Amino acid sequence: MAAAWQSRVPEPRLEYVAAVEDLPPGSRKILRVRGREIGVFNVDGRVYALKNVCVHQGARVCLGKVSGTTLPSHVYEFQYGHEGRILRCPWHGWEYDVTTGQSLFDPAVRVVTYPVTIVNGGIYVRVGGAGTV
Amino acid sequence: MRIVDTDVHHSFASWHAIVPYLPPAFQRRVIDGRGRGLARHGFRKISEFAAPLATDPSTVAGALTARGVDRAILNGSIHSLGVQPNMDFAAAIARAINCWTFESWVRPHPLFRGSILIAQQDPAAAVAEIEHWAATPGMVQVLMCSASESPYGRRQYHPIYAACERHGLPLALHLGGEGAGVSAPSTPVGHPSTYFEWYSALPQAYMAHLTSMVSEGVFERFPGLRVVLCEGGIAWLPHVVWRFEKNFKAVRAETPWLSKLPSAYVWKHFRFTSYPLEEFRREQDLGFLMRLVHGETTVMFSTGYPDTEFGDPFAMVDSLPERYREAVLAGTALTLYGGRLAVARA
Amino acid sequence: MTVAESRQSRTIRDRITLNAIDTDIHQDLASPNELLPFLAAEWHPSVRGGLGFAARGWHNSGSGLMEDSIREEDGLCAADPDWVVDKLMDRYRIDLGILTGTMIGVGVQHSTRFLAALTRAYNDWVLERWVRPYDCFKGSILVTAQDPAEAAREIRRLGSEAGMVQVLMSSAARMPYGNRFYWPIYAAAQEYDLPVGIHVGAEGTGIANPPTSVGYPSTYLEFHSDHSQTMMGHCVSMLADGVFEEYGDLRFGFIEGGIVWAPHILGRMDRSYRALKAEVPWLTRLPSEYFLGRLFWSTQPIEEPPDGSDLIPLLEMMHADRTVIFASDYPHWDFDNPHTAFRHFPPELKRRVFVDNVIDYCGERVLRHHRP
Repeated sequence: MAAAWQSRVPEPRLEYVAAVEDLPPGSRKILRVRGREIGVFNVDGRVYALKNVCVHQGARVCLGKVSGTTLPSHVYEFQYGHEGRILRCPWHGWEYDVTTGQSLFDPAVRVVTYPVTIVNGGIYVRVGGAGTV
Repeated sequence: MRIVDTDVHHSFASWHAIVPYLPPAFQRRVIDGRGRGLARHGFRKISEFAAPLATDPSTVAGALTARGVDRAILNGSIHSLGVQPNMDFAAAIARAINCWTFESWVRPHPLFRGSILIAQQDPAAAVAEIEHWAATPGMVQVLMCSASESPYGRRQYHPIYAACERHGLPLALHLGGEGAGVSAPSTPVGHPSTYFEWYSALPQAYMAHLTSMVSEGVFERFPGLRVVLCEGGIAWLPHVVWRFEKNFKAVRAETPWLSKLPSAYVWKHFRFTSYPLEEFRREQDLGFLMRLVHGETTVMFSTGYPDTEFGDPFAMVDSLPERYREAVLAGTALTLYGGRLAVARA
Repeated sequence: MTVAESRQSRTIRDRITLNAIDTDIHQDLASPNELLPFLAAEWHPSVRGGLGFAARGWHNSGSGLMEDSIREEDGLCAADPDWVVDKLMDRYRIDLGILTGTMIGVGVQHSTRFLAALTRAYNDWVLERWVRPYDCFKGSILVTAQDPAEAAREIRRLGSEAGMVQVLMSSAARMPYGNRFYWPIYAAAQEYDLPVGIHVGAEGTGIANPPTSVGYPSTYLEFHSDHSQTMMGHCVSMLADGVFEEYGDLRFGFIEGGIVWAPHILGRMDRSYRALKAEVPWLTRLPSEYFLGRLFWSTQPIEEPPDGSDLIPLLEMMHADRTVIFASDYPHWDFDNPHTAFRHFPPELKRRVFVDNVIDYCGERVLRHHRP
């Protein structure tokens, strides 16, 4: 019985999402992969893939503005940093670090991320089948 | 120690009680003033239950001891010094009241502990007042009115918090001056019509101060500071904390110095006195609220003596689930005030 | 029933067919010049080029809007009714929406004569542009509480309009709303069986008091969090000043001020009343015994405890099954997604919040097909 159940869970596999040259630094693409929408971002030459669902109320988080933000500081100090790395959900403005998927107010609160592999100029994202995260 | 009363409204029968402690220039003002004195908010309590002022230390001590109180923290009956327009007069009155409290109440009676009353509108003078009393056995906290020109997170008040933290003194806020002197009206929508309405709306001052102090990083700068909110109830806390925290997650960038969620600061740094608690319809509601406000570490028993017209303070605590009672009656206060509560004199 | 079908019918809707009624949609002007056709020429100089209204100094660090609802070609997100139908009503299966607009702050501006003309023009614009052509949009009669006689006139002018379902005022005010100064507004509202809704935003601006009872906060974080104190001040006043003794059929709504502060206010008022009732002899019962059927709280922004189920006992304490009404706050940044923000609500409660309580608040008029 266990074996039959396991064979029905779609295995993760690498899915092609874009050519490297089509995702220059600072750009993003939103696309559907195996039944879910993901955002693929190039931050300073490295590529990251985030599920396009904010864990707060389900907004399409990857449509938000990408910028820097104010870093942890002393009281009444403002230090700006992480330029190009912070994704703000278009609804309530929750800030996520694109490179980790973690929110800035609580690292335990995070959007789903997917491993990214670059092979032969192609960007591949490892995702499970429909029904998995 | 079984019962610590964290809010007693001791009083003087006439201003002449504190005149001896005023500098001569201000003595004349009070004596010649023919009863004119502090700016007042204009709401007069009309109640069939109004008790006489608690002006005689022995009488008050007897009444509290008879109910099993082991220590009583005196917070006075004047909660508008911080919104008096003349800062120097306010500072002088604060010193005089503190001297009178210590000499007439704290020094002679082992039951009583005093609060160092300050007028916060002149932070430098307030700090000087704290420094004057910090080493005096029997004075267990700093006290300032919640009525204010500005929310207490604002940076002009930070020297006061530094002094409190430096000396390990909790800071108590007390309602009652809202709408008097230079304070804003007692609600954000203007002045109410009756004392009943005014009294019902008072905790809104605490909501604003709490949000302000957390937002402006007071507890990042002064991690040792503890703030006691007197006479404000507890049922507003879940709404305020949840709304505040929901907003913080959205606009964190505006206050980047906050290393924790707002709720973490609130439950760690704030304490709430029990009298009077809000009325609840169902038996389980009070216990539910106590859980939400971490009542086993944040709520402290108080009577508000002699202003107990809202019901018997002991009965209010009796209706708490058993697991909270020891902490509320004494445990949390003992932890907060530490050795100062036990040691009466040098 | 689809929007298209409902536009043709002239009957009363069956509430069974409804999924949700939204009590707070901020339809917008593309520009103040849209009001010019509705405004006498003498007032045009005050509108052309912008209203120049007193404005607050606290702002969300983004645009303050749902970024994904902003139309690319013109930057608008609520100025086109069809856009709102697509982005909100159809997407979230909201059948009816009560419009609250973006001019609520008129209540704290300075020139009462101009404001009288402006609010009339604004209400006429709402009717012509949004309400009359769209059966799914219901309007609010915007009034300035600072001039109760004029507000009452405006309520009487438009109170018979089938598509108007509420009187709307800013919660920012000079005096608490229970004060007799405002009673002409309640008399008119009760006469036309219209609820009075008050809405946050203009606190600390223009003629309004500071946003808190202890002065002006520094940050938007505080300012937004402090909004509920404004509502509490009015709530205490409405109950303590005996408005509901005088106007027993009046309904009063707290829009966008949060919900679960109600048990605190009612609990503290009851506690205090027992000792202080001599001060308010016009009250014949406990303050908390007035609120059912009269006070309503809109959901947005809904409180989010770490454990969502902790909301339920507080909702029970305030009889949310009769007092809480759904609101999205489209298109503001703090919009609550109706599909995800109410996961912890039992289905019966959710149904009452999304439909039945709104009908109790507005009256059955909200079910009427109002298109002429």
